[in-house]
This record gives sequence, structure tokens and C-alpha cells, in this order.
Amino acid sequence: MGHLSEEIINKANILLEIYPNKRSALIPLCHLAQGQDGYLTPEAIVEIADLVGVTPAEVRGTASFYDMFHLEPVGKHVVAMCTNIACMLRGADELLEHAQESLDVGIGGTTQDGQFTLEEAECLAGCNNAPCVQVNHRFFGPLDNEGFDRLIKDLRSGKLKDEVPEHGVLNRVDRNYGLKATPDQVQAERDVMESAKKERLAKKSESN
Amino acid sequence: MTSSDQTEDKVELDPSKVKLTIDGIEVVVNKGELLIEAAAKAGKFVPRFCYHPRMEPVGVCRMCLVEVDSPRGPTLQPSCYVPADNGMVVNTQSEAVKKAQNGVLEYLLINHPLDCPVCDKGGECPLQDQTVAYGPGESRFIEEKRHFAKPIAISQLVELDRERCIQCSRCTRFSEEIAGEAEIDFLGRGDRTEVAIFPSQPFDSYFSGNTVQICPVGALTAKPYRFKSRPWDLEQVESTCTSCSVGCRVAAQSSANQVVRYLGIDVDEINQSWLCDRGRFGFESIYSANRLQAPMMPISGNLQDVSWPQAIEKVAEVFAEHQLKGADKIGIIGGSRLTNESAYAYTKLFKGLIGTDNVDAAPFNLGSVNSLYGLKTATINEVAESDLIITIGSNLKETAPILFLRIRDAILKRDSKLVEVGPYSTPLSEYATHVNINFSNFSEVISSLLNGGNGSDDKQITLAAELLKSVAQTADANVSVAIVYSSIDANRPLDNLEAALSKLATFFSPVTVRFLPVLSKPNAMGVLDMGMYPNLLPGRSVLSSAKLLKEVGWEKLPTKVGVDATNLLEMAAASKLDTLVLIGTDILTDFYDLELAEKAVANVKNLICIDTHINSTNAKATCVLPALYDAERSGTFTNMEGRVSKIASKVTGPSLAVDDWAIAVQIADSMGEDMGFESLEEIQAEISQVAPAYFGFSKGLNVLGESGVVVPMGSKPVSIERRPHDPIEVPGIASTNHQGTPLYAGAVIPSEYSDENTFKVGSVSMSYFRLVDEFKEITLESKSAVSSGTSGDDKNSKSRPADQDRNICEMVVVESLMDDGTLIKSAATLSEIKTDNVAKISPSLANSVGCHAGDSIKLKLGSAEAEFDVVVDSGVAENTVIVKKLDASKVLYGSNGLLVEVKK
Ligand code: SF4
Ligand code: SF4
Ligand code: FES
Ligand code: FES
Repeated sequence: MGHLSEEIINKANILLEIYPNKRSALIPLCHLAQGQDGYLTPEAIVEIADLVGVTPAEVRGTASFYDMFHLEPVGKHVVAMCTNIACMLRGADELLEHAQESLDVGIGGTTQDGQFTLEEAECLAGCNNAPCVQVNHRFFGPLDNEGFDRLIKDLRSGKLKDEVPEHGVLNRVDRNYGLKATPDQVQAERDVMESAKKERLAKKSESN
Repeated sequence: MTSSDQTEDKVELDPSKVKLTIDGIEVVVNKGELLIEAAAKAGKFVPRFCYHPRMEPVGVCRMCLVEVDSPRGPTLQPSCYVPADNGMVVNTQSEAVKKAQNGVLEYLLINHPLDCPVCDKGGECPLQDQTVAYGPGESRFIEEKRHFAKPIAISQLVELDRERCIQCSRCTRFSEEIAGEAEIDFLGRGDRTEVAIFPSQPFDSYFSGNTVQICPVGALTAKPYRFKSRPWDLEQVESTCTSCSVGCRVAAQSSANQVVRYLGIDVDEINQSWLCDRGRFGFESIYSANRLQAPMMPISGNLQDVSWPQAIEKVAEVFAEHQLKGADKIGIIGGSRLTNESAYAYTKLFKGLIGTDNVDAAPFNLGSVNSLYGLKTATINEVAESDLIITIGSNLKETAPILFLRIRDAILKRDSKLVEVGPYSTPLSEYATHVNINFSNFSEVISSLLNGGNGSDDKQITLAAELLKSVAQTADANVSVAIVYSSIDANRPLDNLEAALSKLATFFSPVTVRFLPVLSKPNAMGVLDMGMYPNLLPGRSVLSSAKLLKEVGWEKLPTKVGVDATNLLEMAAASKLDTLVLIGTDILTDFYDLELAEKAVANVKNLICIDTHINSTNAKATCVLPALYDAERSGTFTNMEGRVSKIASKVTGPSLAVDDWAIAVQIADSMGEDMGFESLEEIQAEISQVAPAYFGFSKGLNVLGESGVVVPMGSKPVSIERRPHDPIEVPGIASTNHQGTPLYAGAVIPSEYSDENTFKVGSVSMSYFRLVDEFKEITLESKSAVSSGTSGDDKNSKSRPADQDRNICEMVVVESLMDDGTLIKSAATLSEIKTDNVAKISPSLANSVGCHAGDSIKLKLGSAEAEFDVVVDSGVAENTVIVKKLDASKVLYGSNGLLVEVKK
């Protein structure tokens, strides 16, 4: 059987439906696969390539452009710490230093127990809670050193299990929540667009 | 009226043209033409890296910025991306432009290593050249450059030095846009961007060498050329690739009398600057340890070097005997590696002087020559411009790779429709309506295609039939159809191909239908045109029309039509043939019936082989003569279109090897005969004079050098507008700069041949060069000959497998580009590429055998058995198994049929 779970394949098929061009679903599919494994495994890449009709080299190349995709194994929790201007002014640099010490890991590294990968990030759009941190795409902040340690402790103990799913998936690629649209709805919308276009063209040729 | 007024009028009249000003010079160009090309027409070169004239522009490198006047004042715009429009004012030399060029180069050089002294590209490097011409004298960058591990192999052939890459995306775009297999792509972002493969999938494209040719720096290098030469040591000639019947134009480059590199030349009609890897890297076989160095004869049982006089003496003695009596006891097989001139010389020797018609250049899967000459032929360009293309037979990517690229391009850019009638799915299937065939259902499938899908429950057939019908019923007179055809099998002809083709022609009438044959051997067309087939004579004429030949010394012309390869071998096996001459064919590994070949070799008295490499057959010869090979010889080559182009010599061969035509002349001389020529020019003059389809070809060739002439030539002017070759690539191939002058082909065709004879295929009137009635005779003759050789097969393939439990299937042996024939085996780098030994079967067969993709299965024929990896392919007909023509499958060849048992 394939590497991606049946559940993911089902979601992928819904996603593939809603784009006029299959390859447009590449990024959401990468998110789904990453949600399963934590990173884009070569097996997943080959399957995605097959699903969207491009080569594995193209999937890997495209994914490599984005910081949010990992091409190598990561810890159970990916901790992305913003050091952009708002957070920096509120002590992000110091917090990052603290995080490195307390996790005993460098930026981009994964702790020995495989629990945490620490990353430095650009603005996460959580400036109102600066300095802010994302764990598996879930927001935490504002954080000071103690707050950070507490967060780590809670993550370790599993207290935040429900809030922070392992290898978190982005809500917006998960069509069971968010912007779910059925193939019928999609087709209907497309038909409307098509007929509007035809009308426009007809008007244009009339006026000519 | 002044001339400029005239132009103005024209521009106003012709909406497809626009007029603009570039550096103060007014030019008129096609609407939509890119500024970078328009500038070239104004005589201005705009520096560039990413733009390639044969690919879509992307505008990523910014080297080509020019200033274009706009309502906001002059702005910098990439000239490779902006189309020319009326009234544009463009400046390619302004201060702002110079500053931009300077800046772009300084940026590129920030991370570019100082490798020039050890870089293969140094000396022909667009980055070097354009830095000197447009760049900064000094870099302000003092920090550390980025570093990558230096060169990494991304395939068996190509190495990548990521530090040198300037991210122009020429290679990645080529892979996706032209070859259609994006095995390489950019990885990462910003200054860390690198070209990369997917780790488990090497860059094993058949077209990988092109990326090396178009890389504007030394980032991509090809193993066969690495560190072999410096560009300023290279000499080059323009020549023709002789690896398949497409006949791509190449530049053969040598250093110190050794061929080191082939590059593709941009010839619009053929390869448009691309080459396949077999053609590009096959030259290494010139330097194989297997090259024949001297004539050889067995001395006390062992083949040993002898002198030329000894060898010629021996051969002449044998031939002289046949000339006296028993011209039917000698047979000649092979010859498709020959130049046309050498083929003419041998034909004259065998048919004209010795008097035997037993000559068969042995394109084993051709069937009758009628399917070659009886149809209105298409050029490759005409195929690419057709609205409907039908391919029948082989996988073009394997048998004619550049034709594959051209057809793919036509489908994508021109929206041509494709119907693929073939034995398995190919890379073209995704754009095509694919229809499955095998030997036994071929005629049936064609009939139902022409009957609106009647009598078929195959959905694909219905779809294809509808498409065919809609084209046939079109009222549009501009619609045209091209049919590209071959056998499906490497060894055997499709029985009813000829009938199928004429049915198709009738079906589409009055829509224009043109045909392009895909021949399985390189110069098959040329050597058949020179008469190397029973009943044929030079210039597509036949034995009964030899008037002209008699005037130039063909004194002993046979009166009886000879026999073909299969029958010759049968005669030899039964000891009814005394002498077998093999020209460049290794029948002990190549013939479809290996048992028969073995018996023939064992029982024939004299086995004379004229070859370039040692092989298993000539090891058993009574005399071996060493011939010159690619890049060592001159002459002409005729491709599948009938296009004659020049083969040029660049280096000297092994000191004792001789060009084939000269071998023929020497043998004749020693027999006391006079061939009537002593040089290539004299042979060409003779062909021009006596071979009807080739009348005047040598003169035409001298005028229309680079793209050759399609025979038979007309005497009408031929206008050629040549696309500019990528000016930053392959410096110094002068002839490709040739632009747009109308030229005269110059053929003067005697009146008895000049009016094109019309004939009917079905109810369609068609015209071609020779009288078709004469060919009808050949059809009958060769039909009987062919079928007597393969009748066993016919019986077997016709009868449907009865015993379903045993999964008896029809075996189709298909050609592959990277096979294990002599050329690949003796080319150092290509021979290392592993060929996958697969058997393709349909899903239903996989089901009944109980195997999945990736499993291995056994094919059993008689007592022979071979194992293959399974590929399940819905493009394969039921009860059919497709295997490649490789050593591994050869144990299954035999006279006892093609029905194999498929076992798990
Ligand atoms: S690619 Fe060109 S500029 Fe770069 S090192 Fe090689 S020769 Fe020099
Ligand atoms: S490897 Fe060469 S062709 Fe490919 S992007 Fe880099 S510089 Fe361009
Ligand atoms: S600056 Fe940190 S979230 Fe915006
Ligand atoms: S941007 Fe025009 S050549 Fe690269």
C-alpha cells in the first residue's frame, strides 16, 4: 500500500478537485503529507508527484522554497520563534538564546529525545502577542523565559495534546473544516465565471 | 517612391508586421517577436543568459535589460520577454542599460567561483565573454562565496558543479518544456538555490546532453568531454548524426585528431539544435578497444592480421568466381551504416559487375519497399505542422528521439491532435488517444478505426475513430494529416501495414495525407535508395529500368530478382550458398532468428565481413576488412524524409581502415574490373547522373548545405528563413548563421522523370517520383520471400491462444534507444548505463498470471526461458507481452514462433 494514509488520500482527492489545474494542489498536499510524518518523506513526495502529475524533483524543488516545509526529519514539536521587528523589540533575541540553552539545541536542531525542533522565524503575524512562538502552527505568546519553559514542560507532559496536534496541520488545507467546497459547488462557481466571461466577450465584440 | 515609403505602405497593409526603432535604426519585424530578436535584426546584440531561441522566455537573469520609451519616460525592460510593437523606441546602449548590465554581472559574480583555469567552459563561456564585454572590472565583494561539494554526478553522463550555476533555468526549463520530464529542478531559495535531482531518481533522460550544451557556464558538464580539451584547441566540422534515421545535424569537434564532443546544430527542418544522448555520446565507440585495426584472415584456425593485398586478393578471387558462374550463389546482407556513396559503390560491384541481385541491406522489419516508396512522403516539418498526426508502430522516443521531440512540441505549441496506434504506452500517450495493437489484431483495429469504431468494445478505438472521422469530414482545405509509421517490432514487419496505409489515405481523401516512415536502421533509406535490396537499383528504380546504368558500366546487371536476408540465410544453412558478405551487421546477435543465423554461418563456405568493430559474427569470418567509421569518413546520408545531408570527416581512423567505397573500388580493380570512379566527388557525380530520384542532388547539396536536400528535388526555388542559432552557444558554427535567401535547388530533371507520375492509393490520386507499377512487382516478390521466412510466425500469431490456463501470449520485441548493440556496447560511457530488462503486460494478463508491477515473470518459448521485471501497462493489448530487444531477451528469438508462455 501507499505511504500516505487513506484519510490523507481522501482529503487530497477533495483538494485536487477544487483546482482547475491539478498541480495547483501541490502545496496543500505537501502540508497534508507533512501533517502525517512531520516532514516530507521521499515516499510521500513520490506519491504527491503522482497525484498532481509532476516529477518528484519538482515537488521537492517547490517544497524547498518554503521554510514551512521540512525535507528532513524534525521533532514532534516544531518550535518557530519569531525574531522579526516587533518581537525583537520585546526581547525575542534573548528568548531565543534562552530557548537554545534550555533545550540544549542550536537553531534548526532537534533535541536528542526527538521532541523539539527549534527554528528562527520571520514575522508570524502574531505581533500583538510579541514575542511570539508557533508550535506546530499553533500560536503562543507573549512569552518570557519562564513562560517558555512552562510551555515546553506542558508539551512534554502531553498536557497540550489536544491544542497542539503532533506535526500540526494547517487548518486551511484541511477541507473538512475551513473553506470546504464540494465538487458540485466548485463546478457551479466555475460555470458562473465561464458564462460571465462569455457575456463580456460578446459585449466587447458588439462594441467593436 | 523611395524604398522606405514602400516599407511603410507594406507595414500598414500587413497587420502581422510592426515597425519600431532600435538604437535609432528602424526595423520591421513580425508582431509579437521579442525585442531581443528584433534587436538582432537591427544588428544589435543584446547580452543574455537565460533566453534561448528554442524555448519560451522567462526573463529571470536580467542580463538583457534595455531601455524602452514609455509614457513615464524610458524604463528598463527585459528584451527577451517584451514583444515588439508598433512605434516602440528601444535603446540597447544607454548609460542606464550599461549600468544595469554591469550590476547584473557583478551580482552573478558574487558567488561564482574563480574556476576558469580548471573549468571546461573556460574559453567558450558566455559568462566570461559577457563579463569582459559588459561587466565590472573589479568585484567589491570581499566576503566568503557560497560553497557546495564540487561536481556531483546527477546521472551516468552528466556532472553538476553547483557553485558555478547562475540559476538561469535553461537546464530545468529544457527538461520540462522540451523533453517533458522534469527530472531536475531548482532546490532551495536565494543564494542557496541549486539545481537538483530527486535523490532516488537520476537525471537519466535520453536528452540530458542538451542541458550541458545550453548551460551558459561550466555548471553542467558531460563525462565524455570533461577535461578532454580546451575550446581553443577544438576543430570542428558540420556533419550528420548516423545513430538513427532522423539524421540530426551535428558539429563534430576534435582535439589533437581525436573526436571529443558532438554538439547539436540548429537546423529548422530537423533537430532544431537538440540531440539525443545516443547521438551525442555514441562517438566514443570510435575509440573502442574493439575497433578493427587491420584486415584479418584465419591462419591455422585463428583470425590474424594480414596485409590489404592479401585480403583483397582473396576476396577478389571469390567474387571473380561468382562473376563467372554462380552469381546466385553469393549473397550480401547489411549495409545501413554505409554512406550513400559507399552503398552505391557496393551495389555497383555486386549488381553491376558481379551480377547478383541477392543484396539486402536488411532493415529486418520493413516488409515491402512499397510501403516506403509508394506513398506521398512528409518532411518532419510537415508532420509538425499537421492538424492530425497518427503514429503507427514503434515508440518514437526509442526509435527516433528527435522526431519524438518535434511531435511533442507540435502537440503542445500547435495543438495538433495525436492518435497513437502502438503496442504499449509511450511518453506521447498522455497527449494522445492511444489504441492498443499487436501483430494479430492490427488489421482489425485499423478497420474498426475507419468504421467509426464499429465492432469494437474498446473505448479508445471509438474515441480515436471519432477524431479521425471529424478530420476526414472537415470542409477546411488547410487541414492536413500526417501518418508516421513503422513496424511495432524490431525484427518483424507488420503484415498488413501497406494495406492499412492505403486504406487510411483513401479514408481521408480529399484531405491531404502525408506519410513518414520510421526506419529502424540509420541510413536504411539511403542504402535502399542506392539499390541495396532485391530488385532495387540506385535512385528508387528497379531492375527493369536500368537504361541509364548501363551507360556507366553496370554491365552484368542481373535479370532475375534476388532473394532477401532470411532466404539467403536459409540457403546458406542448407549449404546452397557459397559466399555470404556481411556489411556492418552482426547476424549472430542481431538477426531475429538466431538459430538460422548460426546454421548459416556454420555452413557457408566463404564468410566475408566488412566491419568497423569486432563482433561475434566476424570472429568466424574467412576474411574481415576494416572500414572507416563516423567522423573518419565523408559522404552523404539520407534520412527518413529522403533528406540527403553531408557526413564530414574530422579525424583519421585506424591507419589500416579504409572507406567502404574505396574497398569496393579496390576489390573491383583486383578483379580486373573498372568501377569508373576513384573519388567521392566522382561517385556523387555518377549518382547525380544515373539515379533518378537523386538527379542533381550533389549540386543541390552544395547550395543548400546545412539542412540538406530532400530527394527527389524539384527545380523550384526554395526559400529558407533560418532561425538564428543561440548566439551564446557553440561559437563558430558559421553555417548556422545563414539567413533567409531564396535558393535554387538546381536540379535539372530529365523530362521522362520530371513530371510527377500520379497513381492511386485506393481512390486517392497521389504523386511520387517513380512508376508504381514497377514496384508492384517487388511487392509480390518480396512478400513471398518474407512470408516464406516467417510463415511459422504468421500461423502462430493468427491463431488465438486456446489454452488460457497457460497464459500463452504473443511476444512483441521492441527497440530501445540504449540497447546493447555494437554502438552502445563499444561507447565507454553509454555502455555503463544499465538497461532495465522489463516485460510489459496488460492489467488483465497481470491478473491472470497473478503478478504485480515490480514482480518478475518468466517467458518460455520452446526450451528457452528468460526472466523479466513486470511493468503493468494498460496501453498493451490483451494476451501480448512486450520485451525489449536486448541480449537478455534474445534467447527467446527463434524460428519456432512468437507465442510465449508467461509464468510467474
Ligand atoms: S563557467 Fe565560465 S566563468 Fe565560470 S568558471 Fe567556468 S569558464 Fe569561468
Ligand atoms: S546549471 Fe547551468 S543551465 Fe542550469 S540553471 Fe545553472 S547555469 Fe543555468
Ligand atoms: S514580528 Fe514577531 S510575529 Fe510579527
Ligand atoms: S532575462 Fe532576458 S535573457 Fe535572461
